[in-house]
Amino acid sequence: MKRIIVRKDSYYDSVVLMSISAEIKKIDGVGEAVVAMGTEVNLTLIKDMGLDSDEVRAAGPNDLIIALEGESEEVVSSAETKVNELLRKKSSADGQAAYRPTGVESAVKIMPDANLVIISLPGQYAGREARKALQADRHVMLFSDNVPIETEIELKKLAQERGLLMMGPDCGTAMINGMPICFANVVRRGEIGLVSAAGTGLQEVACSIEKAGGGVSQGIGTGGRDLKNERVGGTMVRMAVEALAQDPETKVIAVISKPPAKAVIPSVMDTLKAAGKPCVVHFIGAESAAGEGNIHYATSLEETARMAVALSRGERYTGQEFDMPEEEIAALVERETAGMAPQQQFVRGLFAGGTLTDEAVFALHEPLGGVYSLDPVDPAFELRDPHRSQGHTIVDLGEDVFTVGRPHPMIDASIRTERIEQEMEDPEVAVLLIDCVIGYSSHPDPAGAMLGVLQAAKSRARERGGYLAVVGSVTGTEGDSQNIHDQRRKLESVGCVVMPSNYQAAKLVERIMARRASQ
Amino acid sequence: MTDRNEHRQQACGFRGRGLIAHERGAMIPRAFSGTVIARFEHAVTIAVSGESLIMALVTRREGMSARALLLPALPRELRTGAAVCASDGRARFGEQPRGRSSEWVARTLTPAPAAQATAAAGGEIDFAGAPWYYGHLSAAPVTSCRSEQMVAPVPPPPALIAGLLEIVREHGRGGGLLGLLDRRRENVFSAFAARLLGIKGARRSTAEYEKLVGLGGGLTPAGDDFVMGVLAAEELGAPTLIDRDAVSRRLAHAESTTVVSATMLRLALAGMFPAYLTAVGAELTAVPAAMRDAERRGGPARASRELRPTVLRALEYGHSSGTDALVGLLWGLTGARVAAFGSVPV
Repeated sequence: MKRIIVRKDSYYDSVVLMSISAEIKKIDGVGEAVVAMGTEVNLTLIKDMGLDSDEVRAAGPNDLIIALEGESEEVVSSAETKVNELLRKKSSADGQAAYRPTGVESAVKIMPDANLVIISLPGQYAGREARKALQADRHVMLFSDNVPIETEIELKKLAQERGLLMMGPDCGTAMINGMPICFANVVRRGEIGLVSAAGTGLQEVACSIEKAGGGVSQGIGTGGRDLKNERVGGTMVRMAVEALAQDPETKVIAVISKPPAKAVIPSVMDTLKAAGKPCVVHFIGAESAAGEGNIHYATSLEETARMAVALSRGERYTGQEFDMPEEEIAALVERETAGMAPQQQFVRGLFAGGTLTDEAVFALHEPLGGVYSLDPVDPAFELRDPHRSQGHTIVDLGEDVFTVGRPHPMIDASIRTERIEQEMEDPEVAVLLIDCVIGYSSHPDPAGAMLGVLQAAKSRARERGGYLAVVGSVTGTEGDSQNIHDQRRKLESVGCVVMPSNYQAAKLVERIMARRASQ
Repeated sequence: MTDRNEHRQQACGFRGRGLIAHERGAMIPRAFSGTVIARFEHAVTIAVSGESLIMALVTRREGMSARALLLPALPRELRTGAAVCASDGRARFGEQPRGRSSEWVARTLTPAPAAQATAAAGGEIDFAGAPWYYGHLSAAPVTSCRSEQMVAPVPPPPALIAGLLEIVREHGRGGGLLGLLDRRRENVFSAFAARLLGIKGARRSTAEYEKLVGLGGGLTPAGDDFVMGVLAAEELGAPTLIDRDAVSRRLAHAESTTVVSATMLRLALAGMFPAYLTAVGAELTAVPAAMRDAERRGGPARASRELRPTVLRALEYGHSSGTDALVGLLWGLTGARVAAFGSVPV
């Protein structure tokens, strides 16, 4: 006689679980008893014991499973009674209870004071939960992608009617009231309000602000389609700008996005002009434009940050391509190109951050005579096979094609290390361009995870009589648990040139390749 | 920010209605928000917003980890479902934190209606000045830098490993994977683990250890404690047995193990271990010269005496967690040969 008891979302410490196991085994006639959490391997074990059931199949790692085998119905019933008694006793003793809301309604009941709901579900279900959250008067951060455009339009309309933020879909980063949400960094509070359609774009700007001595008042994500799709019409960007315009803590507003749809530009620019505060705008990859009134245009994520910091201090911003003196850059270029073999002629950019990828592609496409990528500047340069580079290639390894069934490369470093292993066998590769994004939710040591493979790649190039240049940057701050300085030191320990920003890293690669062309 | 000297003076750990943390895990951020997901006798676990790793508030030093705060007591208000919110090294719980920033822009970020109700009684934990806990097992953790320039740690001498084996066999608690060391203690989990590792009385060092993740009873399943022990052995200079990327990939599946255990393993992959294990590690590595001397003077018996108090404390951790972690440690230190030979190959 077999019996399965499943307690959903039950947390009991090991001592309790083991003592239950020991107690029921003492009952005469009980053969086998497994008291364990419903992890994959435990479920396999229970099935192996012939104790499978629909309940077992539906269990998850936070569900407690008690599988009993006894010689009679009475024995297993008595064992079950004993289990329930022991669990009840333990619950009342410790006041422990399950906590795992199954939807927005129950989450709101448990935390009535929460005014923002983060939703990360498969795209097809995410809209429904977001709607419930908005209807319950909560702001929403929708992490999920693959949400239909119609759903996004409807959700943003609803949010607008209710005066709520609807960040996303596909919004991975925000900093609200000093609280980092999802992928974000430890950045000091300050006077610059950020509105960004892009995750790592917001991170790179926020971290550059911190490096420049400034601080962030709010960082509001909007999702990539907010400005790009004219049907969405920049609803959230406009709402966020209006909010920051009224925010007494915000002195300067910065907006970061890919170039908006033409039909959206007038309304967004009107909102920015009406904000009455200095606004820095960076449309990644857009033609540079002269500023007008309170609007200032930046040419890179880093420049967006520096310009905003200067404006917040009432200073005039003077841009420069590199932080290092020109002689040092020239020496660096000489050093990195000196040992290269004649056949080494291509750049391979392997990125974890989507916006950082875009920035590198736009910075290098023209100078290198074309860069292949999954989202190229020129459609003729669309990468034929995402898994195989051709010519100069820069890929965002966070694209769906690489992450099916796997975590994002900002969490799981193996996606990139595997690709580096592949690239290092290509004798035509001259430069590897990488990012390293740290902060909340990111890999605990992304640089450390790459060290072995970067060393191997350099060794492989040496064996062929060449030299592989590795250039990168770290998006992060001193306050991040991974620490920007530690990450930089680790990368430098294997001969990586770590530049102060993603943009400067791309510009250094441009110089290296220009030198290669002249050799 | 609490002054460090002032912090030291708060020996009792209490100030007003707040608590002062004795120690602060290195992976505890300065600012976070979360919810208590479970309360135990000596620990509270907190799901942190936007992070996959949970964190813990513990009152026993042996349970300290890089994602924990060591406290003098667990306040009553820290019940399941309680909100915890921290900034600048101060965590508040049981009430909604208020500040001028939460009142900005009435149109957009107005607090939800319910938040305007009177806040419930809560408390505060000051961890800004608490000494850091890293959980490293050796001065040069394998995980923190695999650079060739680093000096590789020297594995503990065989006599010490033999001494450890003797104590674990004698005092280890069953219920988990002790059966991997001692057939008499075999149970359904250790038998299944042996099957997953492909052990049939013969040595096998290329086993897929990631398959053990999630196996066994307890909030940290025995298989996870075991894998952590093997990772600890690697940190101490033992040969590499574990494919760390494979373990990471396994942990990426939410179904593989409990959130508490996934946090423990992720920290172990980053070279950070709980205090009960670092204490054993310290005994095994602190004075290798003295241990070599012990070996000369008394062999395993003497080494066993030297280790005994620390190892016994570790074995008492959890129900079988301490035992399973030390079984893993022994497994790793002997290059997986302990199962095949039933003793430490010298």
